[in-house]
Amino acid sequence: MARRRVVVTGLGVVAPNGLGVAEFWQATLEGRSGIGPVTGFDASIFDSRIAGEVKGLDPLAFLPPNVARKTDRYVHLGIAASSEALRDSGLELDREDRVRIGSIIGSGLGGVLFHEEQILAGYEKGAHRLNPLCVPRITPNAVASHIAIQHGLLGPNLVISTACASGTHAVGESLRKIQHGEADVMVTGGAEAPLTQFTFGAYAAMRVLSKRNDAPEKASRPFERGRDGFVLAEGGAALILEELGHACRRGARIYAELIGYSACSGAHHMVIPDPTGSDAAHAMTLALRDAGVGPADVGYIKAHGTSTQANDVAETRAIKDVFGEHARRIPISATKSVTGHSIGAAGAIEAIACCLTISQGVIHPTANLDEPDPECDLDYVPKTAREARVDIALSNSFGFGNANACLVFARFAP
Amino acid sequence: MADPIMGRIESLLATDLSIPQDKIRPEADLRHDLGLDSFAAVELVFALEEAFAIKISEEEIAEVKTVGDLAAAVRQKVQGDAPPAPAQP
Repeated sequence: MARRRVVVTGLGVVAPNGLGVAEFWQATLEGRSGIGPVTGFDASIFDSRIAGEVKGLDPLAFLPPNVARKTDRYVHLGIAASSEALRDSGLELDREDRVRIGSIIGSGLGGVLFHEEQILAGYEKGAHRLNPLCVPRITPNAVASHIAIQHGLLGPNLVISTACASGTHAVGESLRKIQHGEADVMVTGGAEAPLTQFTFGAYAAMRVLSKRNDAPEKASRPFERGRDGFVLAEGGAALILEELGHACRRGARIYAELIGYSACSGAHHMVIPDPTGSDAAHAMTLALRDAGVGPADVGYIKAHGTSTQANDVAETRAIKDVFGEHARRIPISATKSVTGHSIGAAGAIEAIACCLTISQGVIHPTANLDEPDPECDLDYVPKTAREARVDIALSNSFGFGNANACLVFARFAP
Repeated sequence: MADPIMGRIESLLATDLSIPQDKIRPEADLRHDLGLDSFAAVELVFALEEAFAIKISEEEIAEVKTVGDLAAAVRQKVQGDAPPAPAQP
C-alpha cells in the first residue's frame, strides 16, 4: 500500500531574530542576527556573556493570565509558535475530528527556569513548601500538553528530548504518525528556554560557547575559520503537518511536502561527534532513502552548522561522503548563524527555513562567513541570500549524545 | 483598607488568579463561585501563610469553603500576635 503523503500547511516561529514567520524570515534572508548580550540574568561571571534571547514576547497574547503565570517560559515559546502555525494553516478546529489531531514537540530541557527557581526556594524555605504545580511546570511534556489543552487536540501527544535534534525528531515522528494513519493533522515543532543562570553555566562548563562578547551578532560563524563555539539561544517553532487528502479537501495552502525522515545514533560520545562524520553521513543517506530520492536530486542542504570546531568539519566531511562530486554544487546554509543554537527548538526553526526556501525560491545566507575554514570548502551561501528554485531540501540535526535526525522536504506537486 | 486580611486575600485572588474584583465577596465559594481548583487553593493558602507568618493545617484548609471562611481561618491564627504585615498595594 502506498504511504500516505504529508504536507506542511502552517508555520509559526518565535526566534531571537524575529517574532512571527514574516519577521524571522526577513531577518534571516538579510543575515540579521538576533544575538546580543545576556540580559535575563547576570552573566558577568562567565567567559561567554552573549545569547539569542527572544525579545518582546507577551505570553498574555496567547494564554489566559492564570495559565501564563503557571507555565514555564519554554511553554510560552511553544504556545506562541503553535498558535501562529494553527492560525496560518486556516484549520477550523471546531469542524475537525479532534481525535485525529495530535501534537509532538521537541524540547531538550523542559521547564528549567521554573525548576531552578523552585530548587532555590526549596533550599531556602524547605522542600515541603514547594509550589503545588511544580511537577507539571517542570516536566518536559508540559508544552505538548498545553498545546492540546488550549486547542482541544485529542490525538497522539508527546515530547521528544534528543538535545539539539529534538525539534527535528518531533517533526519526523509526527510525519510517521500521519503516514501510519494514527493522525491526520499534527501540530509539531520545538520549544526551548535554556537562558537561566544554571543552564547557561552548564553549557559554559562544557567550553562549547562562543566568547566573542565584543561582537555578539558576529559570534555565530558556522564554517568560518575564526569560529569559537556556538551561541546558546531560546526559541519556539511549529509546523502543521497534514495528510495530503485532508489538506486538499479544505483547500489548504501547501508550503512543501515532507517526504523523508531518518533517526539514528553515532554511538560514539555524549558530546563529541565522530570526526569522520560517518554517523552524520549515515543519517543523511537514510533520510534520502526514506524519501526515495538520490543525492543528485537534492537542491539545498540546511546544515546543522553550529559554529563549533568539531561539528562544522565533521558535517562537511559527511556531506562530501554522501553527495560526492555533487556536494560542491549544492547550496548549503546554516540558520544558526543568525538565530544561535536554541537546542530543542533549532531543528523546527530550521525546518521552517526549508519550507520557505522551497515555497519562495530563495536560500538564506550563512551570516558571518568572512573566511571559510580550509576544511570547510563547500558552497555555504556566504552572507548574501540567493534566489534559486529548490525542489528537494535536506535539513540536518546532530544532537549531543550523537542523536542524529534528518528531514527531506520537497516542492509539492499533485 | 479596613481589614488587612481581606485586603490581602482580595489582592491575591485578583492579581495571582485573575479573579474579577466584583466577584470577590465574603460569601463567595472559592471553588464554585471563583473557579479555584484544589491546586490554586493550596497556592493561596501558602501565600497567606507567608504573608502573615502563620501555619494553617491541612484539616483547617479542608473546612474552608468561602472567602469569608478563609479570612476567618487566617484571622484566628494572627489574633494575639503582632500586627500582620500590610497588604500589598
